[in-house]
Amino acid sequence: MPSSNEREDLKPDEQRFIQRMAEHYAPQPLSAVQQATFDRALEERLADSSRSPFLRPSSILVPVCAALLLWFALPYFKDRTPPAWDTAATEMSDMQGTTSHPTLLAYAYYQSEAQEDFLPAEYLALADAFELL
Amino acid sequence: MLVGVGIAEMGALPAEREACFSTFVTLQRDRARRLAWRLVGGDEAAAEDVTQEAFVRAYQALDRFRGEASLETWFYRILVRQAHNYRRWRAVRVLWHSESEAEPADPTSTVQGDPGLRRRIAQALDQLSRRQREAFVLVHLEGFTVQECADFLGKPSGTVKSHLHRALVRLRAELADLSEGTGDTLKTGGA
Repeated sequence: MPSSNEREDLKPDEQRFIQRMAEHYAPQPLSAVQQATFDRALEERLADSSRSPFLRPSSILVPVCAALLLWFALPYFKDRTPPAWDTAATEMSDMQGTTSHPTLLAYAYYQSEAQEDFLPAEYLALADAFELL
Repeated sequence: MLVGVGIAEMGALPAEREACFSTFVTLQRDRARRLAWRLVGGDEAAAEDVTQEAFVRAYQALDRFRGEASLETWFYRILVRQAHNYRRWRAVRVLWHSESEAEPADPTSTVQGDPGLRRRIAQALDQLSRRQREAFVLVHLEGFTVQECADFLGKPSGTVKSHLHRALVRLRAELADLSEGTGDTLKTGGA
């Protein structure tokens, strides 16, 4: 154990204590095989770290996959026509304030047959009550 | 005492730098591993990982090394920080998995000597504050000077001396038998 200038300032019993601590609290030296394993692992890590990040598979694949996904997904969302219930709701909201409730209900009911599937049973019952069928 | 390697010795060309770094690794490998082992609480695998990671980080930042400090100072600063990061990560892991990892990994299976005493020393060091522990290990166990230790920790040397004094007092109280007894009378710990 190398001695330092601070060690010499210590009292003998303090020096002895530290000396014993240093002796008892130290790792075993690596064997030749362990040393070789350590060196090989270190070399691999150093080689990995020196490789350009642009050449690492993960750093290429992830952005490329994300870009492809966006490329194919965006036109779908852009060109997609909104569902019928969405259109009806929008048009109905445009008519609010200018149209009475029975008119709205009639509008909702008579949009199309397909839309009947989307209208709740309460709407149909109310339409019946107002004789809109 | 460190053998200072500055920017001049490192060489200007990348190949020269790499050759110099390779020599540096060979020279410092054992000491770095021993220091890491003591700082992480005697965990062999963790010490190797911390040492290798410190070398890798130093290597990655080699282009930014400007020689204001020696290469050793620069490297050991990284190593000490890396060991601290490991300890912090381990503490978080213990919080989440308290049932299995309440203690640092037991190093006794791979080292010679008294395993109980080694565990007691590790526990006593563990009770010190971070700076006290780092200062004590660096100066008293590894033999760095106070000034070198102050450079590693980025603290004034007076602060390091204060940490050393307090650490020594606490450790002597905790491990009283180590300073009094001979090898035959030392307690070996209960675990």
